[in-house]
Amino acid sequence: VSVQVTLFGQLRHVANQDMLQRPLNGDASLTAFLEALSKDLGEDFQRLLLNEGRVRPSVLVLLNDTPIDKAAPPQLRDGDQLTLLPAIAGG
Amino acid sequence: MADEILIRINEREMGVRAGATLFEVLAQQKPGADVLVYNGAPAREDVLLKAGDELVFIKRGEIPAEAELEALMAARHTPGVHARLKSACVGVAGVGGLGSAIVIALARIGVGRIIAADFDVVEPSNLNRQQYFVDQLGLPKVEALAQNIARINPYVAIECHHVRLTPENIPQIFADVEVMVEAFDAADQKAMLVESFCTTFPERPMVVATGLAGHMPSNTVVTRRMGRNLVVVGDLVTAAAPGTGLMAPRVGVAAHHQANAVLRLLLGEDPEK
Repeated sequence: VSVQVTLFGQLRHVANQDMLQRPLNGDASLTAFLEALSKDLGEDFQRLLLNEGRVRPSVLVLLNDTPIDKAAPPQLRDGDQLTLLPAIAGG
Repeated sequence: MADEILIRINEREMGVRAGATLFEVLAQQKPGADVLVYNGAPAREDVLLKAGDELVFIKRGEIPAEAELEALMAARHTPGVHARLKSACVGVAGVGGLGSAIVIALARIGVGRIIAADFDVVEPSNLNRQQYFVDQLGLPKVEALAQNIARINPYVAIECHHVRLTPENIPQIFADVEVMVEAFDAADQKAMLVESFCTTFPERPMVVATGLAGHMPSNTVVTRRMGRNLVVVGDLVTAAAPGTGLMAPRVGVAAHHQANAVLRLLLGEDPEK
């Protein structure tokens, strides 16, 4: 029972990996999963991804190839694929 | 008639004798024309014409009739592309460094309808990269852009919204678009737009940009498909920040990646491969 996570941008840089598989234990909410993932991958990763227990507004989260509305975070299921991309300023 | 073939000359369908050549038809239809475009490319040698060929004859310095101008402007398009683009509707959120260049590129290729939204006005620090002029300082950007587009391609319908985009108004403003373009500056606004548009219109493609600041090598800006309907342009890591400015060349590279991704999507092609 696991979720595949693909990282882009600075998250990939600080995690020093582009893809990983993480078990889905206990609370299957997206937020709980990302908090647990952040604990594994260190403070810099956590700071880029989360703020006060929530995904930062600038981070794009795709679940199974489709962007999600972070205001309504989904429950994860076995085999889900998450993509995380922190958008950055400039335009 | 059996010995005639149908071709298009300056976008008008016309029958010519089977076996006629380009130079023969030129001499008959527009003697003195000095720009010859044959199926989207300059013609330097005579060729035997075949059914379906598209010819454009232009005399330099001559101001064409209004009815003919649009066809002549599209002469260097790849044949067959113009009609598809003319019927397309594209949305652009933000018309700063990225968006102003994207809208101009889309107008030049003849996208028929463009819906653009931006809350800001033109100010001096914009002019290092944004497609505006000194005499447009103080104007709402969407108004200044509409003025510029009218001078570039008056056949484009540009619908402007001088408004701050929010999750509440995005679905209504961009309800008609086939392809959506994110061209904001602020990172959280980029993500907000993606979430709002993609959850409202999950079947419609969206092209976003992230990582285009500074003067890093142009080739680090790439176009990626990320998800089923999301296309992401940029190097993903170089943010506008103290010590790293926003410069016209690299912002322009990213903007034109985005515009080309829109073109490919409208033509049913993969933006990445």
